[in-house]
Amino acid sequence: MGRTAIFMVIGFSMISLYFGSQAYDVKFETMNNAITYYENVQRTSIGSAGANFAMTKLTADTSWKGPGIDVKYPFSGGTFAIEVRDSSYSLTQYKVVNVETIYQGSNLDGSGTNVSEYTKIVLSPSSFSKFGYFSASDPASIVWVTGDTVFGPFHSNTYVYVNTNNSIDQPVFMDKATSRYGLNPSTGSRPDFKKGHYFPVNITMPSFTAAFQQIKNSAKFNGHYDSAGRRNSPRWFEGTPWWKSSPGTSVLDPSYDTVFLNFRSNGYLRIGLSSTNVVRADSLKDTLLSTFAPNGIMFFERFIVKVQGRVNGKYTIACASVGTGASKRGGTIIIDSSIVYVDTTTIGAGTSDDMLGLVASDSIAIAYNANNNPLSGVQRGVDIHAVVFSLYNGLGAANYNVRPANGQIRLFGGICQASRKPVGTTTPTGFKKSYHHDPRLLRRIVPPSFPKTGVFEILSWFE
Amino acid sequence: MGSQVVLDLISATIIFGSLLVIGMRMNAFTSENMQRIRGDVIVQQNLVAVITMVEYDFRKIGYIANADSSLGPDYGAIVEADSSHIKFYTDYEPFTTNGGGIDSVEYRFGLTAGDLVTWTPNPNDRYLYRNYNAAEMDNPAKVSLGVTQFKLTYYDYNDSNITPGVRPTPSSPINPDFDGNSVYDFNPTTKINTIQIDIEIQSWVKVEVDTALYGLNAKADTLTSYQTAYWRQIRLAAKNLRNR
Repeated sequence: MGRTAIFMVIGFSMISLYFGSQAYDVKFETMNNAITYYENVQRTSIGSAGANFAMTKLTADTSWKGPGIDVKYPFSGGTFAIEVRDSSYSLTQYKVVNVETIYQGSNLDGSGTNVSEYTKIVLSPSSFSKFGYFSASDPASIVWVTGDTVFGPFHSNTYVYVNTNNSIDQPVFMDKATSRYGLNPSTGSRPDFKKGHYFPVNITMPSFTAAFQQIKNSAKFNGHYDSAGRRNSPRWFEGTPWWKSSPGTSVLDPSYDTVFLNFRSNGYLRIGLSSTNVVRADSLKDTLLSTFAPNGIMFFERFIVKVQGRVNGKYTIACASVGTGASKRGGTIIIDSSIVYVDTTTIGAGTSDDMLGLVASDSIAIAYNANNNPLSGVQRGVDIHAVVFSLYNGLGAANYNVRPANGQIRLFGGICQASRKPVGTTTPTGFKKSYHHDPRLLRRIVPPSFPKTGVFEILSWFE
Repeated sequence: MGSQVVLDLISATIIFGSLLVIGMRMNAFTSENMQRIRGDVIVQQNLVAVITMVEYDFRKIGYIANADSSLGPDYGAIVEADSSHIKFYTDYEPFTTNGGGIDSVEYRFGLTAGDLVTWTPNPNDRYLYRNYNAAEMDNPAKVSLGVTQFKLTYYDYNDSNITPGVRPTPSSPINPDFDGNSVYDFNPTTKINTIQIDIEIQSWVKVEVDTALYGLNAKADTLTSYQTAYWRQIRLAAKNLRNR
């Protein structure tokens, strides 16, 4: 019996060892499977943490270069390293942020080796043109109310002033909304932010130099730059010899400080001069835009610019003032009549190349004239296909409180302004608003050299 | 060969027989358990394989390698979205695939009788189709790792449950801002902020579950069922959905 007992013990032990080994293998596989998935998630999370760290640093300091790929930040059992490179393509500047994540694999499979993963983020200077509505300083007296709908990204660098009506109808913000201080009042109002409301986000209007210097340089380089709008100057259009060759007496007339720009659908620009509401017939000139401003940028200093017509191509008109107080000259863009794109049928497809930016240091005003008033009692409204930017003022209508009611301002593009300006009253006078955002602006199809916000926006995030 | 010897033989036979039965029962029990555990491992491995693929793809929604290019005339990265189907744009292998252009990826969980995986004993598992670019739409990759549930739930920026549905066909107005509609209304998939993903995987064959162990059924000693693993990604937010 003693020998048999030993055999039995050995036998059971062998059976137990065999199944124990099998159970260990299964346990190993289970653990390895779970750990492999955990490690992948962990690696991705560390990469995201590193990328967010880099984004925060870049937001605070856009010149931040990162410590380089050799400096490893320990984080959550692994490390990440950050490298920031400047890049450019065509005229666009980019920042490329590379984040290398290293996370040591488990020893379950006998390797225990480090596994790397890369996160790559591409950023670009953010342009004001992306906003459907941007306001640097909204007055508390003008609130968003029931029935208001904002299309495109929204930013107010103060509060988002809303009504306190608790009905189901409420102001609707269709795209991402940001503000510096949040909602006002913070309770009792129910605006509908379809893509969220984020604050505090501080985006200030640029300085005069930051807003206009790049446009000026580009206009000088291969566009049209004109600074002779000052009085008593014979040089009306520098760089346009044909104009100088036929100056006439009008060139010397010191009262001319306004330039008319009438866009023709055939790609020509009709230019005229005046100091009154009526353009002088003997100053009218037709010029091909592709030779007048090959890169599409026109910069007028000291002038008041009046625009209208049918835009065929991609252009930016900048109008900068000179001087201060009583000696201030120019800087205002006046919508003399509707200004629309020639090709509006392929905008949705993103293939229309018609786009206009209106950049003014002062106001952008809808003129009080026959073009913009009712015709034989019929309200016609005014069409503005453009992205408008007013550095110190806003988009408004001249004589808004006394002019006859004339339907809607049908704006297609975006509005960036220092503060909201009235365009009509509920009497009614002036205009109602129908502002729509150009979807191409979110695809980086923008007017040339449009002012930048000074911060970067994420274009793509690869992990 | 006295009676003592006979008694010894009988006793030895009984003892040996008992030990043999114990050993065999132990072997059977252990083998059964091993089989069940190994089945669990396979289900777990299948689940990890599926969710790794889904997570990898979904995190790339809206990614564009060439930052200056756009996602086309669709006003957003997600083209179609319902509870069992999603189609979106992304950009894989930008320098080698699809001419370096935008790629489309489509997931569809088969809900018809024809989508059942017929070559497994499990009558519940269905094909999860993964289409990659239009050229392969007619011949999608079929995932048949025992997927019995694949459910997508969409949430907007207010974290409200939404049903985006299918984007209007290209014959719909392509200039929505000129005919009174907004881009936002034009393609309701632009409302998607996060996605909840539910996936259930079952084993191909049934296993016996000792109900006494799990307290499942007091009346029956054993219960046969498919081993099941369930995974839920509560809120997956593709980074590139929020760009620009």
